[in-house]
Amino acid sequence: MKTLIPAAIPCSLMFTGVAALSIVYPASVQAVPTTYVYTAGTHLRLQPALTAPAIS
Amino acid sequence: MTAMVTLASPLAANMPLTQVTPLAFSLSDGVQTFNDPIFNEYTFLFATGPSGNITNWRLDVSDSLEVNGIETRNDAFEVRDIGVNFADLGENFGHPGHWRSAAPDAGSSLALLSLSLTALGAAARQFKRAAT
Repeated sequence: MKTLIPAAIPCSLMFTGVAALSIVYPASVQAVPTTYVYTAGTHLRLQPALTAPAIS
Repeated sequence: MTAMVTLASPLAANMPLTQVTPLAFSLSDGVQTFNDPIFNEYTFLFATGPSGNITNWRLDVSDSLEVNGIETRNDAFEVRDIGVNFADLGENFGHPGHWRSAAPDAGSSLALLSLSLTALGAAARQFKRAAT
């Protein structure tokens, strides 16, 4: 029991610190840059540019 | 055609078609690649579903003269991927591709979770050893 209580104190301090940080900086989790990757379908048709519709 | 668009934060759920400003992008049609936010002309719009997944989009990027470009579009008006490069073009009508999120925070969150569980296990073992 004597060794249990001193070991529990730093542990609870550590968890309290993490909990406090998560309350203070909740928005920073949402602001993580996110990359979106697009893969096109496979139905590709090639043709001369003379008949190409303009990219608007 | 492939595209990569990095945004400052994940897209919100149930978002109507909305213009976004990317941190970085890269669009390639296999012949040309556009990835310069300063010298390329670009317009990016996304719409999302209930889980934040991209449901509709319109990405349009071209060189500064707007002669060569790439467009991928899936909105109420048209579904097409198209790349124009001087004398040629590649196009894909009516067959939309798919988007996936490569969120960099997902991996680090899992790593943090597993690290926390390992630490908890080690602490529990210490307590058990101290108690006996």
